[in-house]
Amino acid sequence: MRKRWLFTFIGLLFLALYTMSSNTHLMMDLLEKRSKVSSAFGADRSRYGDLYYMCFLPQYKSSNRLLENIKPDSVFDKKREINLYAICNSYLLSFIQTPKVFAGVKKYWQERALNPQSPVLDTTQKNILLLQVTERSVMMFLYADRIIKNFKPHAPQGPSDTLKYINKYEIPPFPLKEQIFSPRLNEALEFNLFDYRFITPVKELKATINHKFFGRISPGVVISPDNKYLFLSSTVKKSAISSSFYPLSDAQINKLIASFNKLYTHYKEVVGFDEVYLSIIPNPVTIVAPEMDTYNNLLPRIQQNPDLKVPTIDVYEKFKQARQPIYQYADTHWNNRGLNLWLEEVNKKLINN
Amino acid sequence: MLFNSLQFFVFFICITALYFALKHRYRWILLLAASCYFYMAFIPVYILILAMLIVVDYVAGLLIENAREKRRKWIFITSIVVNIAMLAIFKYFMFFNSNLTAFLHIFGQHNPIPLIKFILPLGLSFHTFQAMSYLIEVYRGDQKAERHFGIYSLYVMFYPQLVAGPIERPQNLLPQFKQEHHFDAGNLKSGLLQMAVGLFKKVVIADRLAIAVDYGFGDYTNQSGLSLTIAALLYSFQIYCDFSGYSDIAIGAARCMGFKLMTNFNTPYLARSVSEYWRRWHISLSTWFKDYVYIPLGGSRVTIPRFYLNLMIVFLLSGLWHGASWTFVVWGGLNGIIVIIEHSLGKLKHKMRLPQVHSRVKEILSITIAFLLVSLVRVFFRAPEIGQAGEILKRIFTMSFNDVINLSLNSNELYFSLFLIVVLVLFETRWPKITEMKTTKLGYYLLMAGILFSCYLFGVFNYRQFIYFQF
Repeated sequence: MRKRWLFTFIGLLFLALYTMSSNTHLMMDLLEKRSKVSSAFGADRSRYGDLYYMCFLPQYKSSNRLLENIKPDSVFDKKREINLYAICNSYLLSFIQTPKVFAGVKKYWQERALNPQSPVLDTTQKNILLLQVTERSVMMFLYADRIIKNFKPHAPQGPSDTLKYINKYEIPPFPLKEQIFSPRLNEALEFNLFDYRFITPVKELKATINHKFFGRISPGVVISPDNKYLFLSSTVKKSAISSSFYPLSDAQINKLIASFNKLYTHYKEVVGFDEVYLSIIPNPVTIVAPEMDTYNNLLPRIQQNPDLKVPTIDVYEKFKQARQPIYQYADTHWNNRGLNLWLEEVNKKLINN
Repeated sequence: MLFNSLQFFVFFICITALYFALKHRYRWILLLAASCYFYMAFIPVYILILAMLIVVDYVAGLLIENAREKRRKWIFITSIVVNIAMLAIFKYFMFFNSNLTAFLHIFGQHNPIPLIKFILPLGLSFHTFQAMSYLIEVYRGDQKAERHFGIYSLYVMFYPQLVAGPIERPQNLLPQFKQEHHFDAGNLKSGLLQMAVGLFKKVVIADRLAIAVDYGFGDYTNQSGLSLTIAALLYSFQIYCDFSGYSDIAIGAARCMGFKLMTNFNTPYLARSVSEYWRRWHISLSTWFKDYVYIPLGGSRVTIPRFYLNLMIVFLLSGLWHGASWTFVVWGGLNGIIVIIEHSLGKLKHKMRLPQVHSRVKEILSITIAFLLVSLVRVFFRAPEIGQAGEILKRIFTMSFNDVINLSLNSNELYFSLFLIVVLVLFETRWPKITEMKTTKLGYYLLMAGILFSCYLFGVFNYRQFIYFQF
C-alpha cells in the first residue's frame, strides 16, 4: 500500500512537471522570475548573453553586458510633442524602457511587426512611424501585406482612448494542439530540470571538451576570427538567407525595396502618419568581422537605392567607424554604446522633422 | 515523441509510476491512453489510420474465429488486403505512381492518376506487420481472437514498441497485458540499465558517427574513395547503434513495467556469413518474414531453384518493406543474391567433401568479409538514388590509401569514434551482457551514473530522429 502511494506521488509529480512545461505562458513567467534569482537555483538563461547560453563556452561568460546608461545628449532641450510608433524587434523591445530617450517624443509605442496590434492614432497629433529591423531578419519585410494586416492603427474612440505605451509583449493564446503537444516542451523541460546555476559548470565542462577536443561548438554559434565575439551562425553561414554573406540577387533587393515602398505609401498616405522611417541594424558580423566571407552589401544596397522612398536612419557607416565595441561579445544584441549611437541618429531625424 | 528527448524521459517516469500506482484492472486504460498520446505527439491526425486498422483487424479476428472454411478464408484475405492497402496507399502509392508515369512516358503516354503526396504515418510498417501477425495466427488457429477491444488496441499500440518494433507476436504480448505485473526492483533495475545502454548507443555513438556519415554521403562528389569507404563502414555502426539503441530503450522501458519484449539483435556484426547476419539483425522482422512468407512458400523443402526463388522473394519484400524506393529493392535483392551464393558455395564444398577447418583466423576472416559485404551493399540503403549509390561504390572500389580523409571530424573525433566502436564490440563480445550482470547496489548506481554522465558529456543532442522511424 505504501508503495502504491509512493508511485502515485511520483507519477503525479512528473505529470505536473509535464503539464506545467507544456504551458508556454506559465513558462515565460517562470523564466522571468527565475532569471532574477541569483542563488544556485536561479536560471542562467539570460544572465550572460543569449549566445553564451547557446554554447556554454566559459570564456564568453561575462555578466558585464551593458556598459553605460542611455543618455543621448540631444533629447533634453526639445519640446515633447511627437507620438512615436516603432515596429521593431528585441533590439528595441529589450532595451528601450522609456520614451524619454527620444528627442521630442511625448508618447512611445512599440511592438513586433507580425503581432496583431491596433494602437490609437490621433491624426491631430504629430505621429511618426519607425520601421526597425535587424539585417538578419530584413527579409521579413517582404511580407508587407502581412504587416499591414497585423498593424492597423485606429482613430480614437473617445477622449480617454489615447496612445498607451506597451512595455510587455503579450502572447496570444496558443491553439489547442499546441497546448497539448507543445512544440516548446523539450526546451521547457530542459529549463525546469537542468537550468540551474549549480549545473552550469557541468554544461561548461561539456562545451569545453567538445570545443578543445573535437573542435565543435553548438551549431547555432560561430566564433569570430579574433576569438572575441560569438555570432549567431545563421548570420555567418553563407547558405542562410539571414547571413551577411548570402548572395542576394538584385531581383531580391528590388522586391524588398518595393515592399518597403508599399509600407511607406500605406502608412503615410492611407493611414495618416506624418513620417515613416526605416532603420536596419547591421548584423554584428557585418561590422566586426566582414572579412569572414564576401559581404553581400545588403545595407548599402537598400539604403542607397534610388528607388527607395522611405527615409532611412543609417547607422551602418557610423557603426563601422566606431572605435569601441558596440555589440555584446556573447549576445546577438548591441550594447548600450551601440544603442546610444543609434539613438543619436534617430534623434537627429526627429529634431529635423 | 523521441526516445532521446526529455519529453520521453518525463513521460516514461510518469507512466511507469502511475502504472504501478493503479490496480491491475485499470492499467490497460492508462497504457492505451499513454500510447495514444505518445503516437499523437508526432502527427495527431494519423491516429485515425491506426484506429481504423485496429477496428478492422479486431472485428476480422473475431469473424475469422467464428466462421467456417470458405468464409473464414475470405474474411482473412479481405482483412490482409485492407492492411496491405493501407501500406500501399501511404507508403507505396507515390513510388508506384511515379514509376507508372515513367513507364508510360516511354510509350509517349500520359499517366492519368494524379500525383498525390502522403506523409508516411510513423511506424506504419511496424504496426501493420504486428497486426497482420495477429490475423495470421488467428486464421491458423494458433491464437484465440482477442475479445477485449482495449487489450487488442494495446497489442497494436503499446507505446514502447509502437513506432519501430520489435514486431511482436500475439502469443507473446497479448497474455502479458492480462497478467498482473507486481513491482519488481530487479526488472526496474535491468530495464533502466538497458535503456541507459540504448541511450548511450544512440546519442554517444550513432549520432556522432552520423556527423561523418551525413557529410560523406551528402557531399559524395567531392569525397575521396577512402573517405567514402570510411563513411560506409561508419554507417554500419551508426545504423546498428541507432536501431539497436532504440530497441534497447523499447525493451528496457517495457521491462520496467514487467513486460518482456522479444530480442531484436544478437551481435549481428559478429556473424560469419551474410546468411547468419540476417539471423542476428532485426530478428523480429526476419522471423516475421520467415514464419509468414518464407515457410508458407515452401522454405528450403523444395527444389533448389524454387528454394532460391523463395529466398529472393523474401529479400526483395524485405527491401521493399524498408522503403518505397528502388534503392531498397536493390539492397534487398543484393542481400538475397549473396545469401544464395553463400548457400551454393556451402553446398559445393559439401559435395566436394572439403575438410572443415576451424581456426580463429578463419573465423575472424569470415566475420570481416561478412561485415564488409553487408556494409558495401548497405550503400544502396543509405543513398537516395541508385545512380548515387553506384557512383559512391565506384569511388570506393577505386580508392587509394593516399586519398585524403575529409569527413568533417577532426582526428581526435575520428579516433574517439573508433574507440567507441572498439568499446562497443568488446562490450558485446568479451563481457557478459550488461543487463545480466550481477552487481552490488553501489556498483549498479555507479554504473548507471557513469553511463548517464557519459551520455551527457559525450552525447550529441540534436533530437535526431531514429533511422527506423521512417519505415
